[in-house]
Amino acid sequence: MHEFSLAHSILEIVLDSARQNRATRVRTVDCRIGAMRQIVPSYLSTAFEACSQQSLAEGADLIVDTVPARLDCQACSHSGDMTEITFQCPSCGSTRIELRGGTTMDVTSITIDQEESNGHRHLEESAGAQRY
Amino acid sequence: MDIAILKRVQERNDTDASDIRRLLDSRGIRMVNVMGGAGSGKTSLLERLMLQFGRELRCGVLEGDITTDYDALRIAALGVPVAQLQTEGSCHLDAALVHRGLGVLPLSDLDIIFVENVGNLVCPAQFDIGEHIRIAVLSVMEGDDKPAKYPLMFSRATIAVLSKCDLIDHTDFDISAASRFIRTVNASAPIIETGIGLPGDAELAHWLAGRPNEDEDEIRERFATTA
Repeated sequence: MHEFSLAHSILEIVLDSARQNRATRVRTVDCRIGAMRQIVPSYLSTAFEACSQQSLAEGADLIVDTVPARLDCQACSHSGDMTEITFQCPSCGSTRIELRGGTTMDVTSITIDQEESNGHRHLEESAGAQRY
Repeated sequence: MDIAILKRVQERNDTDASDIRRLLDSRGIRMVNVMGGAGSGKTSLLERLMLQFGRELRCGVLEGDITTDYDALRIAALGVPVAQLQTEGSCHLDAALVHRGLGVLPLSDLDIIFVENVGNLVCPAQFDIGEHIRIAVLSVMEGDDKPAKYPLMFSRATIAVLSKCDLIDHTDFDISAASRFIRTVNASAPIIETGIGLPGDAELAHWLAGRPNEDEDEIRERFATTA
C-alpha cells in the first residue's frame, strides 16, 4: 500500500520537471527501484495512473528498472546481483549469505511533448486541462 | 523530448526527516522509531520501557495508528506525555505527520521520544521519520521466517527485538533461525529477547539510554540511496 504514497511523490517530481520544461504532456516516466524495497511495479503503475489523472502526466507509462541487491555467500564465496530477493545462495544453495544495498528509489527521466516555440499550444492546454 | 531528472522519490520526506533530526539534535533529544507487525507487542514493550526508565530518562511518546486512541490512553495512564497520530487509512507514518506530533509534546521536558509506528512490517520501513534509532519488533507468535519475508524492515533496524519470548515454549519459534535471517540482511543490529520477567527489557533500556546520537552522515549512510 506504500506504493500509493510513493506514486504521489513520483508524480510531484514529474510535474515539477514537466512544468519547468514547458511540457504539454508527459509520455513516459523512468524510475530505478531497488529490489530490497518490496515495491510491486504493477501496483505502483496502477497507483500512478490513478493519482496522475487530470494532470500533465495522465496516461504516461511508468517504467520501473529494478536495481539489484548485492549478495555475498559465506559458504562458497559466490558474489553477485540479486533482483529477486531470496535468502539462499543461487550458486550453492547455502543460507549463509549476506544481502546488501538494493534500496535505491529514483526518478531518472521523463519523456514529454513540449509547447511549440512559435507560440502555438497543444490542444490539452488550450482546452484548459486541469494542472497540478 | 527526453528530460533527465535523477531525483530521489522520497526527497521531500527525507528533507522533512532531516529537519526533524536537526530540531531534536539542537535540543539533545533522541528519537526512536518502533516498528513491527500488528499485535507484535510494541505498546506493551513501550509500557515496560517507561517503567524501566523511571525518572532516569524523561520520555515522550507519539502513538501512530490508522484510527482510535487506545494506545495513547495506555501510555497516558503511566503519566508519560503522549500524542496520538491518526493516519486515517495510511499504512505508515511519514516525517510530516511526525513533525506535527512533535509540536504537541513538551520538548523542553524530554530526553527521549518513542514513536510507535503503524502495525505493519512492510510500509513503515520505507519512510525515514527523523529518528535516530529504529527498532524492529518481532513476536515469537509471528514465526521465525518473518525477517526473510520482510527484509527491508530488518535490514534497516538499529536494534531487532524478539518479543513475547516468555511465551516461546508454546510456539515452534526458533531463535537461531530468526537470528540467522536477521544477520543475512543486517550485520550489526543487536538482537534482544524480551518478555515479561526476562532480562531483555533492562538490556534494551540500557542500550537505548547509552547510545549517543548518531550524526547526520551516519544516518544518511544507512539510508544510502545507492545500491
